[in-house]
Amino acid sequence: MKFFKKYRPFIRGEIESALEYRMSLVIWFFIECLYILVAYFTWKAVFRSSGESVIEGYTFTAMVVYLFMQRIVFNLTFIQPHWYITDDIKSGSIAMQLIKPINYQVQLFFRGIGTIAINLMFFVGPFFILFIIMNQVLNLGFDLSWINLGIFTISIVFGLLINFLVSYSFGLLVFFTIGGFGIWQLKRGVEMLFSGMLIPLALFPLWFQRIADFLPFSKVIYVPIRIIMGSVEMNEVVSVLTNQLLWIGIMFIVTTLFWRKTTKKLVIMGG
Amino acid sequence: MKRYLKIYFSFVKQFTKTIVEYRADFIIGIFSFLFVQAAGLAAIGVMFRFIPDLEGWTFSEVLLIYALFQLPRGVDHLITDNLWMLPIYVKQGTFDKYLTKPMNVLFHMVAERFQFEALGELILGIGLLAYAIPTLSITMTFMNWVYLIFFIIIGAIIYTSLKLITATAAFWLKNSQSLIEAVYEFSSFTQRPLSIYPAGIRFLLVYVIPFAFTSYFPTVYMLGRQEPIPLLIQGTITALVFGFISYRFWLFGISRYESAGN
Repeated sequence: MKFFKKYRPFIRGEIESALEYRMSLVIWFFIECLYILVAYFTWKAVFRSSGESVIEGYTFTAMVVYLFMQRIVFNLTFIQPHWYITDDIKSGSIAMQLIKPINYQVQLFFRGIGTIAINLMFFVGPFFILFIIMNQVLNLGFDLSWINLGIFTISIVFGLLINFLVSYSFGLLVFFTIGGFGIWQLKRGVEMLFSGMLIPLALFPLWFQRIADFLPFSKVIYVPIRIIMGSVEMNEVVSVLTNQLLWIGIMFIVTTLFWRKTTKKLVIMGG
Repeated sequence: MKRYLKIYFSFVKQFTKTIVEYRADFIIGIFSFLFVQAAGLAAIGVMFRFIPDLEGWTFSEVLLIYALFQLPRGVDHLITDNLWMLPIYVKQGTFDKYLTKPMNVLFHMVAERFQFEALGELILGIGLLAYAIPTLSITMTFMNWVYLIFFIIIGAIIYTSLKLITATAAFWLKNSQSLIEAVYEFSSFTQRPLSIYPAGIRFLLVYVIPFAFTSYFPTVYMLGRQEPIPLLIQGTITALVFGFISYRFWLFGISRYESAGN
């Protein structure tokens, strides 16, 4: 409890500074809706052109559900320690951060939790309402059981942790290049391809799916989406969640080793 | 005119120095931009595994749309990127500095920043064009090149005008940067053939936020599906109207500007 008390201000700080930009958040929600719209009409055209009603197990309505779930999962796991690291390095405040009796990595995590709270309010909530309406209007036939929701919640928490650790290790790379924009973009590209963010991974060629299976990104986005859509069989659930846990373990070890190396190389600008 | 050119190049020279300073980040930046775009293209490629064409558009034709989408966007990005910063300058009060120099204010703002990162868009656009033209066996006569360049200029003007209109809102709104972003992102519709959208969206993209001229119409012309001249005339009129409105609005905005600083 004391631990939580120590880090709570970081959550609050993030929320408060984000709330100053309420208007931007509303506009961003609107922009995300644009992306959904583009994808919606693209899929509509794809299904019309293919003449099939099912593509690799996805009907058109399932694809629309996927689109919404992708946005929801993306916003629930959107944790960006690499942004904070870049900021802290550029402003030089990293030096102060490191001498405080606070674990830098944990602090970054709680700042990220602040963002997730904002996302819940401004993105996940509205998307969910929009989705419920669409579900009725377009007859998407989406049905959610409590048990799926429970498993989904666990997999989101795991996914969030994996994404945190992965982004964090990308963030540590910033220590070596000074300037972060390129690294962010690089991460975004890899993530877009291998997480199932753009299209369900099932549509990719098999060799590609194998690579994606081997990387952590699909555990952040694709796995939770499949769970909430009910595509993961009950007897698979344990192994899917264990696999996520395994990735948390691997990434934790990687970041710890990496961090040790990094702090030795630290260059501080200004002060 | 000559004076302005001279000023412009001295600004570019100045800016080049900062790029050299951050060279590694710059190269990674362009490389990663290409990577993100490649990811987007791969996604489209994957869709084409299941369809022979997208409502009559083959994969190579969609790539051509993508190529022509990047070029005007890249030109605009390269030259007028500083407009994105207007909301920040206004908020901080640093906008004042532009008003005190014996130069056109818009020119000064635009010239100050030369965004080399746009090379990513330009490289991608030219690369895809170099792939699409022979693959689709499009014959490029001299006139065709002239038309194409004309289309790119029209497209860039449309991008800049829309950016200028939304950026100018900063003189009244607190955070207009996200407004610029919102209108700018409407362009994502034009990465696909417009024929996949319902009439309402198409109307929007031709007359209200006319991004159709930045990728779709040039492609339609290149593929010989429509005559270039009427499209160019319509495009020129659109670019002139939007250019004129945005510039008037900008002048109006400046006249209303009250500094936030002291």
